Amino acid sequence: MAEEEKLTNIKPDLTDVTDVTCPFCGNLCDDIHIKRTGDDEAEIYHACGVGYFKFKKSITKGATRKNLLRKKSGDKKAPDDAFNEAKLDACIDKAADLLLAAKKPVLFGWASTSVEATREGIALAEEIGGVIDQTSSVCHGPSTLAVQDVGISSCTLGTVLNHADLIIYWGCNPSEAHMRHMSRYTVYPRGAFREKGRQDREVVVVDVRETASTSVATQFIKVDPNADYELIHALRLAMKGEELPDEIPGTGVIKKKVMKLAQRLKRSKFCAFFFGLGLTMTRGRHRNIDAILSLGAELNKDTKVVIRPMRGHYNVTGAAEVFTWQTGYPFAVDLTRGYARYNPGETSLVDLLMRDDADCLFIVASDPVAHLPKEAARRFSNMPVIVIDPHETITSKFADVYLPCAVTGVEAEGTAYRMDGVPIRLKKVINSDVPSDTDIVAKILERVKEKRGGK
Amino acid sequence: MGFLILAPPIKCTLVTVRTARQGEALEMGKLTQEYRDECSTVLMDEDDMNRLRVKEDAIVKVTTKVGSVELRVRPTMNSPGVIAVPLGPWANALIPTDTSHTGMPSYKGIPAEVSTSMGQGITSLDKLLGDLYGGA
Repeated sequence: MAEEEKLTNIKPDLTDVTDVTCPFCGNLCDDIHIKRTGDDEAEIYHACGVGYFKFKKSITKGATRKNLLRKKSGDKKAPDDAFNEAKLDACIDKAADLLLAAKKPVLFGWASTSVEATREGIALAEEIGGVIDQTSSVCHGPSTLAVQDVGISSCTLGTVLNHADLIIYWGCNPSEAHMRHMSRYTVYPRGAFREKGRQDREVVVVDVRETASTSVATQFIKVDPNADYELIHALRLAMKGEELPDEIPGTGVIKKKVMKLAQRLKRSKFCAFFFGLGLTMTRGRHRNIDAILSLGAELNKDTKVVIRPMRGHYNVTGAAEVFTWQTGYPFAVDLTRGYARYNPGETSLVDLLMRDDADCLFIVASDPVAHLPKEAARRFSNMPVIVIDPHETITSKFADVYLPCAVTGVEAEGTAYRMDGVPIRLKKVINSDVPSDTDIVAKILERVKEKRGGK
Repeated sequence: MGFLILAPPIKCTLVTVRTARQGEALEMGKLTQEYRDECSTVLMDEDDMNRLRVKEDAIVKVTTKVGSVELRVRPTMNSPGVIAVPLGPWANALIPTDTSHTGMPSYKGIPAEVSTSMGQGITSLDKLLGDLYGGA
């Protein structure tokens, strides 16, 4: 009886929700089925392991989420009893005060929330004259730099599914990082012109080590670390019919393997390159991407080739879209002078921190202390930090103001952009006891405007 | 009186990686034991492990020019000279901050050295966070 009562308390439209979009990685799988079996229980179908835990954790509500204010501002050595519980309004007021007192606040994150939240964030950055950056600057930022240099030949994942007969994964491991990429879009599904699915496709993986993805490959090329640039150029030379040495210098790859890949590329009717952080985070960074995009442009003279980055956070593409609509630049945008300046390496988060150029951090939907190099993360103790995140994180331990928010895509609606630039609606599958980050950022913006108007 | 003969350190290249377990654990929560266990692991080629005379689950010390951490070792196949550490606080302690004016630090392709541990045990998350408190 108790179970029945529990079920009747749940709103009917949220008991059995189909076609839910998973807010974890850039795949944005939009076929998740969530069937509620109790107040904080649900059966979750079709999600990968990570997506499963994302939904499960949000549905299985733990302790009540509390707004927190640091007791003693500036003292970040006492992590455990350092916070007081506070009302939302008090936290918003404190956040507005900290932002207004700062000369160069940095607003960072945005890749794991909706484009609506990002829109509010940019308005806030403009109002207070801050720098706004997104996680792309420590992810596919170099890819963006290369695309700005040489352009990109691209398409949606739907086109890859229907047309591609050669899939190349370079410097990425979709089996562990984008778990359903192969099964939903590239290798396994049957497409309009690839009726036999996997049998109609060849897969090449280029990486510095064997991974779960290499076992799927028709051809695996193991390249030495930091040698992708040389290997891509060897491939460009091979495609042009130039003579190569028996072993490509500095790469650990023999000529035979490069020639075999070149022949495969020429033979293919539609080739889709996907590259990951194995190219952006190694020596060469954006020049590696420059080289692979140039290879793609040249290959398009012989066959059809498209290239896509494997975007990690589920809305990192959307954040770049909104940044570009609003400011003209996709990440690392400095608005301190009243107009937009873009200079990655100067206006990007890690560089700002290492120069001690920032004096307040406003972190939304990101956990930089858990992912930045240690020396950059240490700077979080030097200045006021405001964190808006659904869960307490390692970064929130360094916060002066922590505002819990609803999980976008589970507890709040919104729009996100898939890794191929297709906007997809995020659904709400459970009710939330806290506001969304979009609402919180909008309220902080409103409070900042009130305070400035009153001066 | 016995002597402990240690294998010489191995020079290798460090890459930080996403693993399926790390992805799942970070969604469970970054303060959970699952996250701590996975992110304090180093994946190492089996032959390199033999050269270092360590077995699975042994503790090894990974050192780069910016720091060192002690991690549990897990074997991988056919990746001689390359070690992988899942993204997280342990990996961060090994990553230099230079971005070559792109905004992006080198999270992959970092020269590193792996040596046998002298019994300190896996570096704890509290120790890593303790290093961050107090600022730079």
